[in-house]
Amino acid sequence: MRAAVRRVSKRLGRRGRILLAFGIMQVLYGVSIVSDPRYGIVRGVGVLTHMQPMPFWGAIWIVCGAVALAMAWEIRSSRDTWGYGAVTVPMALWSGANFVAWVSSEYPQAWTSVFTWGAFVYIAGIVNRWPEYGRRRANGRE
Amino acid sequence: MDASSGLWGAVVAAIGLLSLLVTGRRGPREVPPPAGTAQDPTPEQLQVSPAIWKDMRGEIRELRTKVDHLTDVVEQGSTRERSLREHLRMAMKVIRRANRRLRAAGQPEEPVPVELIPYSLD
Repeated sequence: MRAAVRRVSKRLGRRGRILLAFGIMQVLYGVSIVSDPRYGIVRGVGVLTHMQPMPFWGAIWIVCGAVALAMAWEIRSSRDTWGYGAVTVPMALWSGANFVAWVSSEYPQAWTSVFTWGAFVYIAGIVNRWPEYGRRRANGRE
Repeated sequence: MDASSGLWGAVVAAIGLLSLLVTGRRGPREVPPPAGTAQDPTPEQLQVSPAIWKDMRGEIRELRTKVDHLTDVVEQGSTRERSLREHLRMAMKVIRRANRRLRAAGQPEEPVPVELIPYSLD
């Protein structure tokens, strides 16, 4: 069991592990948005729901999360960078939409989401610049 | 500022797309030049001219592309190998089943090819 975990971990590498975590978070968040979004979320992203209904944006979260989950297993960092690109999309949308809601005073408390999602975008951008240490192997074996 | 305006929605959507393109195109940072290059002159250390370092980086990029290609080839080979192994296991099962029927019918069994024996699931 421990060997299997080590093999998976080796296969993912540090870039893949973080991408996997982002992917899981985004898929779950997307499912919650599609099924039963919280009032605060809906209020903060009014500028987006004015264009498309909430399930559409939930689907964006799920698709981007799924791309991240798939790209987490990609051993070529020249390609997994698009996984990092995908994870920034919904978080940048959320941060931007909450920013509009905040500065337009439609939802003054939206500033917390602006900085929370903005920080996540920043973190994803920073991690995307990390080179992979060691070598990721197709089968995870040394 | 009217938050319900479609214009702001379009701006936010453009930011989202922009973040995809910017992040996707910016891959991992290039490994910084080792200490002792001309940009970081330290006495008593070997210095490498920027031209040589630039040339080396070009070579590294080219090698990375080749490694990516080879990784593709190896992964395709692994997939093919898995599929062939599966077929061999199925062939072994078919032969065993046929031999059981031959035994039941009181007829001599067909010999199992030696190459297939390692793929026996029994």
